[in-house]
Amino acid sequence: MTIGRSFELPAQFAPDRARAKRVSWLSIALLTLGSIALWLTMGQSEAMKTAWVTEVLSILPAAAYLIATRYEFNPPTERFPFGYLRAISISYLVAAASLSLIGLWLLVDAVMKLVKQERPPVGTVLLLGHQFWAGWAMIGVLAASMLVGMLLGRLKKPLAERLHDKALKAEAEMNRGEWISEAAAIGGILLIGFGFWWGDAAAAAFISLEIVRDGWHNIRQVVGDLMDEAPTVMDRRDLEPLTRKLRESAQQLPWVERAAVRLREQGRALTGEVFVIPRAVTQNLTLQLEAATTDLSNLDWRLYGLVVVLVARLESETPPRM
Amino acid sequence: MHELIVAGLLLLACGGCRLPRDADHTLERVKHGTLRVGVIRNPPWVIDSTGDLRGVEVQLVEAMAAELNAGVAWIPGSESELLTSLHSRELDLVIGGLSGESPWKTRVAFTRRYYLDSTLVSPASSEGSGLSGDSVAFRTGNPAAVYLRKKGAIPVPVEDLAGAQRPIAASAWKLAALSRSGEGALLHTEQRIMAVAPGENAWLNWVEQWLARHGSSVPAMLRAGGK
Repeated sequence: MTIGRSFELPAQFAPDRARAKRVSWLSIALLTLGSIALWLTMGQSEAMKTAWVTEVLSILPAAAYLIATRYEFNPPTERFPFGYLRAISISYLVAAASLSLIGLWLLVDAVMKLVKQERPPVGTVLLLGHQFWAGWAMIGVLAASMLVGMLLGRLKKPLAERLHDKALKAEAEMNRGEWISEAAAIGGILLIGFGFWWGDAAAAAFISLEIVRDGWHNIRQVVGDLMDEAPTVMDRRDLEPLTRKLRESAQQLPWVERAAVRLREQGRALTGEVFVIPRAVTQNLTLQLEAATTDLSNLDWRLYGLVVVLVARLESETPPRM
Repeated sequence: MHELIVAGLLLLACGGCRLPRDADHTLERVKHGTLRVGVIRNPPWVIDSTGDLRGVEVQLVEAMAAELNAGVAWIPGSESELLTSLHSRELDLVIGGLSGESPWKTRVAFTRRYYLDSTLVSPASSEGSGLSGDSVAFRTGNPAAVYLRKKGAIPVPVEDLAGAQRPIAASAWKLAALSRSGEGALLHTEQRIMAVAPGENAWLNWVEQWLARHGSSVPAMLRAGGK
């Protein structure tokens, strides 16, 4: 047993991790450019404003990811003896909570525009000596940002799956899901073009609903993590079979009579305890315990700081299923 | 990828049709009809001498109406009154030297600027730049005082700039009318715009394109004092 050892990602994941960081930097760069372009063409369209806020907000998770990956593998300290693995969850909670709040505010804003029947003026822009309807420029920028979102989603998804990285996965989903927002904004602008003034605020309301939905989904996921939820399968609510596998392996040890396991997700790693009742006559119990800890930890690369505890009796092998 | 194809088709489909359209058909209505124009007295943009309307923007609107074969109904009033009516589409256009930075810009549709109005500090013949530490005359009530103070000058309000012996802060066209040097330091710029009913985007686009074509004649009109 070692206290103060930091979690190590297996060497085969190092290139993926480096790649994930590069992709995050790329996201920040592209999304910043997108935000600037949307801001420049925004005008007084509510749909454009909402699409712009979405674009700016989608920088947040990428930035949070980069900040968190800087700290998550720091070795445990006297003050934080369990390490910094939860940095990712915390940064994600902050990002998701702000996302939901801003989404709600935008929704109220858009609904107010509809209620007060504020009509969006969209004038002309001057570009390379041509003066034309600003709506075309808006649609062009929205289409470009739609492509960027799809590209980023496509880059992040396989990385997230290999690294078992829920934060990155959620980010990929968010980037990919953005096409809906941008398509809605394009629809809103076209509706303005055809003289349906309500199209703008309606599109904005739809986009803000999407933001809120996204934020809520992410909050639920990350709160589960902070509540010591048992390991779940990526992207789904099903529990991973690892807990059961670990218990079975422990029970198969010749010196073990019964075993129980409790695991939680801690960012990228899984931590927890294996409780075992040793058989009455066991030689070299300490050495056996040491060997069992190593063997059980090797079952999955995510297991970190697994503790095997000797107990005299077990009331039950698993907590009740709710 | 389907979504991209759909978006592309939509764009192609709309390449042919003329966008944008008005929500309330203003452009169609004013062609060969009547243009309802709110006028705010504000020389030299709108000069109202006993019912006789003159001024730079009045001239512009008359030319605009001629191109549309439209008659003009001039409705005089205050800025807040006229812009409130414009917001509810009781008017088609409001003029009177409106500034692009006006807080009304989110409630009605402002056009692109047709003229950039710059406020300069014209030095008195004997003195230097007229900034930082110097006292500079401005017409009472003119916002130039704020910008002067920011630049470290001491603003001195006067009723009439014509007789002022010290440096004065005023618009370029005003300086020209007073035959003062326009070579002074730039204090502030303001966008001259017109206000259009919100949501009438074909009309807004028409006015903006018209102003872009005719904006170059504004300096000459200002030199003539809007007559």
